[in-house]
Amino acid sequence: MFQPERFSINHGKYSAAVEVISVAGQTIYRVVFSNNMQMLILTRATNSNAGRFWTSVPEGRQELAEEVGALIESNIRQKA
Amino acid sequence: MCYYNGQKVTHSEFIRLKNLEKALANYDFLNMPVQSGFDYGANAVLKRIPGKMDFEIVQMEWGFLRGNPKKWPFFKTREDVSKMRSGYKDEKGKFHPSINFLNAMGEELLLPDKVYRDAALNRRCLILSSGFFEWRHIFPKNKRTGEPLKTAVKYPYHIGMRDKEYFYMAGISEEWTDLNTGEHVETDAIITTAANKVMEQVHNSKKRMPTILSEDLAWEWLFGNLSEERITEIATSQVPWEEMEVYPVAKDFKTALEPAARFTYEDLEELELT
Repeated sequence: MFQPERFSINHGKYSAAVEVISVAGQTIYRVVFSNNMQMLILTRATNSNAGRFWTSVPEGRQELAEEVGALIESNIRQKA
Repeated sequence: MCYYNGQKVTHSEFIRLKNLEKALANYDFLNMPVQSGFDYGANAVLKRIPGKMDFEIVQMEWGFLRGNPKKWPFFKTREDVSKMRSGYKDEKGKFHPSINFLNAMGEELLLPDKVYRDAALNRRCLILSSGFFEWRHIFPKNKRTGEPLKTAVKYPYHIGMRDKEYFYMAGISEEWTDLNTGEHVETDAIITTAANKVMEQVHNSKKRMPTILSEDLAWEWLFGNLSEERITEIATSQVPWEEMEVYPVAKDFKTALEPAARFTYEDLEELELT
């Protein structure tokens, strides 16, 4: 019943466990890295041109958010 | 137009992301393993979205506080709550022992005038847990007489469910507001039932355990239109002991880096698990 749906992602520099959680009615991705990097929370957002992008919540780790978001997206597509 | 993380977003998207940020800042459980604590900490709770077959995960304060000022026990302020939870002396010097509303006995949930009755009928929830701790009391024998000593030696145990990272405990919730400051919290109590074979040996002082629910029972507890009889039936159900994973942990587990790490005590008898 309660997901978190869970999966792991691997990047050359790190690997991480990802949990998909619904919080306050919205989907977030909780990313726990296997090294000492601080946990990252991501969500999908919409920019002013109606394009979708990955962003960290809170702000401040956008580059990593886009990198990890792309890995998550690729994982989700593989499963679909 | 505004910017979030350097991306141009609409006002409404900006507000949504900022609201999400605020919501997450209040959810301590996202930064820690999900676990039931001993203090009045935060629980991760699955709460039904009213009118929908859907739920959200929210954070609640463990320790049920009644929200209706007209019904006992109602505590007006956070200070009153703290006094109630830790015990206090009144102006006349009379000591009032602590009262805790952490756990609600499944057998008594629906008794008339029971504190938890309304919540059990209307606000059932699921406490998400990855494991919990209980103390086993062992009474060493007097070396001369062979009689058990009066003071027990206590050994902490970690209890989880085999092959499950998360499981559900039956719970009930209630909203409470501090009448002075306006602080508003959702609070919960964990339902307990009679201990099963393994928990009788671990929590041997009280012989109780949380009501741990299977996926099907959890669904029914949260979404079912249940009769009083069925509520009591689920609230007093016992998870099979064979599904539990139980082992001792270090006595300083509360402050340990890995509280749930297995620990071996030379002098501790094994549990009887056959």
